[in-house]
Amino acid sequence: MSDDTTHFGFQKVKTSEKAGRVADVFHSVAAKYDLMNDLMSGGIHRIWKRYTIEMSAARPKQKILDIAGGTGDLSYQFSRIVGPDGLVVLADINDSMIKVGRDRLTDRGVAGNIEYCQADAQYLPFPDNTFDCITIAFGLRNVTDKDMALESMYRVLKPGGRLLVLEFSKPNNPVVEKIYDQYSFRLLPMMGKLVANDSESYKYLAESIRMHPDQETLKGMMENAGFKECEYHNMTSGIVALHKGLKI
Amino acid sequence: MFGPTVTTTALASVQLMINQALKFDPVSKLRLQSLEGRLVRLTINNPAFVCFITAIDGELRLQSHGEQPEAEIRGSLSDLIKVFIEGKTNLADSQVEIIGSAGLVQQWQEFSKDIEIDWEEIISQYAGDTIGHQVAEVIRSSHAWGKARRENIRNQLLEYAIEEKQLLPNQALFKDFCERNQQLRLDIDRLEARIERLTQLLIDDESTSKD
Repeated sequence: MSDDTTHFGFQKVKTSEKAGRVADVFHSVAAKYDLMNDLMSGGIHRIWKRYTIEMSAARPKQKILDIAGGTGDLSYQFSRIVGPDGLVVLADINDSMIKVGRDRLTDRGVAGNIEYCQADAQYLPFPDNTFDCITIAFGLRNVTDKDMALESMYRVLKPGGRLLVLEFSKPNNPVVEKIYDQYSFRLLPMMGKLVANDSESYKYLAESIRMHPDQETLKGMMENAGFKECEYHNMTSGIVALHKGLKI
Repeated sequence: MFGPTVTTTALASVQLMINQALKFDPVSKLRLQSLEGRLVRLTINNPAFVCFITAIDGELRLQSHGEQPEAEIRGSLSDLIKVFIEGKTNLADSQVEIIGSAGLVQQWQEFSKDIEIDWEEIISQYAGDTIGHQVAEVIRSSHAWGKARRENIRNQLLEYAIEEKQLLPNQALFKDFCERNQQLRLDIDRLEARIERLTQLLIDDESTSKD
């Protein structure tokens, strides 16, 4: 990939255009994002997120940053764990997603220990060494410059803090991979058309998953950004992987 | 043994069921407050399985992963059921092992032992108040009848073994025997101490007469 172009699914686009095109996708799907997630994953995305919460080892009074927090699944759980003396910051580059997330969390009675921030993961608007834990769930693949984003996360993480990246990855079972390919490229856009009346956005989701670095590559990228003791846990035959790295 | 997806799904399902049931014991939410954020590792030896238990926001939470637990309790599934569900406190004859804060394990044990689910409320939600009350009454009376019968059978068997067959000693006689035994042990200890003292005196006398 040349310096001024990047991937947008299987297409090549100008680097400066990617954020806008990703934003269009999420503006389009925001209203039915939760419903589509449940339909697409058969509800398993809740289990993947639950495991991420467990691996965060979050404790009361901690400060947590939930990047690409979207509709607030992780932020809701973190807000319960850190309690009234802690803080959760739900950050997302897309204002439509933040609006949906804020409404949803407010309806669930989450207030007082949560803040919302429209921010680009590459340029996080927080002081150095601020957060005990940072999570980014199903968001990193949409970031234009992933290395820059990882460095930015490293900067705002406190020493001793941890980054958790939950993202689609490469299946480690060839049979599962074949079924998964058929599902992603045939069924997924069809479901997107039926439920959200938007097959193109879901086609992009499937393509962006394929273009995302595999488990080992992402682990290497985290190490390059400065994270130590990096490891990953495959879930559902590697369809999804949870990467963990510490700032020491 | 299983991947994170399977283990987390299984624990999430069990957690959901327990928390649904605990909604019908309003006091349990208050009692969980003292256990908030305090992590206990549960290691089951047979079958091999590890999980973590804690409380968050007045709800019980079961996790497949946890870090720096305050206590760990190890044992077979049947032994752990005896500790947490039947409220067994004497661990001497079991293979249960507690590492770390035994007080925290005891708090969890008291929590599980004192759970009182309002079954009538659960049944009423599905069958209505009138039927719910009738069904709950039947369950309650059957439970009370069963408990009384079990107690009665136990007493009759005990009486038969003690009085008729004389296989076991009478409880009062056994208690008296134990007290006498204890007294005898104390007397022997005192006598032993006296003999020791006299022996020492004799040795001292002999050494002074030699000098």
